[in-house]
Amino acid sequence: MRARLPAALAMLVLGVGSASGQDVELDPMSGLKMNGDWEIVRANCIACHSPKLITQQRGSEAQWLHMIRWMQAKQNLWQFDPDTENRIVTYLAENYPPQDDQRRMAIPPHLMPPNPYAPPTQ
Amino acid sequence: MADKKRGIHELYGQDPVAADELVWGRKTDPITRRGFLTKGSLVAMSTAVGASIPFAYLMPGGLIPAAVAQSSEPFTIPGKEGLIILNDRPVNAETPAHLLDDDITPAKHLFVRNNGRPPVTTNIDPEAWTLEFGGESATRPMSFTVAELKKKFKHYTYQLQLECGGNGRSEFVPPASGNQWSIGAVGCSEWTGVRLKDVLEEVGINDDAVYVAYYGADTHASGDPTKVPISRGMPVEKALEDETLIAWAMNGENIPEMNGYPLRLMCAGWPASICGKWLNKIVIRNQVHDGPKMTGTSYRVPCKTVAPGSVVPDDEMCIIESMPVKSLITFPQSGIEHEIGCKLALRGHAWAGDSAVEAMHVSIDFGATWLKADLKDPANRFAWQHWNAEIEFPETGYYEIWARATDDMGHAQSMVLPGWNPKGYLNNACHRIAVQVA
Repeated sequence: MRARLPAALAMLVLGVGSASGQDVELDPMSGLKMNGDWEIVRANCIACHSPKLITQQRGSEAQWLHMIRWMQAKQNLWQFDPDTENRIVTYLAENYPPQDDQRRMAIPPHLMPPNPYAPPTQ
Repeated sequence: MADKKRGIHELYGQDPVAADELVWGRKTDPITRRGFLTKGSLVAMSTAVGASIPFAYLMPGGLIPAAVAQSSEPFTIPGKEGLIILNDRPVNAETPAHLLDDDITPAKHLFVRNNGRPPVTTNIDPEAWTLEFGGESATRPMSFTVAELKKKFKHYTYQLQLECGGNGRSEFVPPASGNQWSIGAVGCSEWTGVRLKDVLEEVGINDDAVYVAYYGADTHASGDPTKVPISRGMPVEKALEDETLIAWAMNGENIPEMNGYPLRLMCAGWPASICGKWLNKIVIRNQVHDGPKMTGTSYRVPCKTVAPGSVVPDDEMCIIESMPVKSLITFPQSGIEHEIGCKLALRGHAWAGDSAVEAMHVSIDFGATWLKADLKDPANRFAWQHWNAEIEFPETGYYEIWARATDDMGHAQSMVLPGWNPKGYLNNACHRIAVQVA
């Protein structure tokens, strides 16, 4: 699994609503999709920043986990027990997955050369 | 390696992730649960499957490749090498771009697109194979054996591009159903046969004729003997072109079994589905042919362009005729590392359906600037035109090489996806390869 990690946090202007999970009720307070473990996410993820920093972004499990690790390393985010972390990452990746509706995809990974700047896999 | 005595299913039943590592040396990413294939484990798995595994990076951990799971025998296509298997029932397989590097596509590297079950032709006498002519607008319905065709009519040999109408389908968004071809459902081999028009002249074409269509000996994928898997055709004018052949040979040999042995129609420059395989009947119709895969969304696109995801009524869909301008980079292979300071020689092929390719350009800066490539004339109409270029990289880094052909009517390939259509036909977006310059 190759993940495009560092760019994820810089993508602040995605804005457009995702087609996935249509007709899902949004929490009036946070705007989070009220699916699965959304309350755990609300309890853990919006103390320091707006929920909009979550809802405007998209990412795979690896990408969301990378953001969590970065916030833990640099932004004073607390440590989670493994179960909580798993639930948060699963919620985020399922409700805010990578968008695949661009006009043309990137060259697929199996046709890519070795990348000297490849992010660490896990 | 695996303890063969335990059997692959038993092994996977107990602990699929551990079995993966044992059998293939494949580790599973604990987060994504995708199988992480090292080069070695990918080779092991590919060898067992008998073909390269497309999108192996997406294959979930703990999954037995379908071809291994269904049979104790590795799945292979006789006579084919290096093809990517998209589907094993019916067989559909495409060719990676770098294996299309030959000027004339060898049999082992020509893609396979089947709609139904191929006939068993292993022990037939190809000379005795019979082709019947009929239809409402045939003046004198008659039949010929291959031996009679060879004896009665003049032989012609042409290099003819052959491309599946759905080549490139995998890139469409919203996605289109069908085999998810990337770029390799295309080839250009040398075909020998008689002109369809010479034989049609013998049969006689009535004044009310509008279409010429084929039937083949393949049977329906469901096994239903009353159902025809595919029967398509072309307007009479296309049937009367010099290069439209009834062919019995490819590259000087029998046509490969999966490509239509012993006889197929060649309607170059149009979707390959018109080039009927295992050809045993040709009908001259007084109407646009209405066989399976002529109607609905099959090989038809919206007559006028539509927004992606549109639902288009049947009567606003038009049959695909000429394929659009397109090109491939066949050397180098995508994914190479290249040393800074050394020039890189590029080459490939370009084609444009009924038209010719007039210019070929390449870009190494994501389309900001374009370098003109050397482009050869085709060996004959409908043959691939070969191109080459030499590039120098200004500094180290990640590059994509983009290739763009322009036809003699000024149509160039698009950088993004061309017009969306419900079944994902006619994707002629520029081919891109990736190179890391160090």
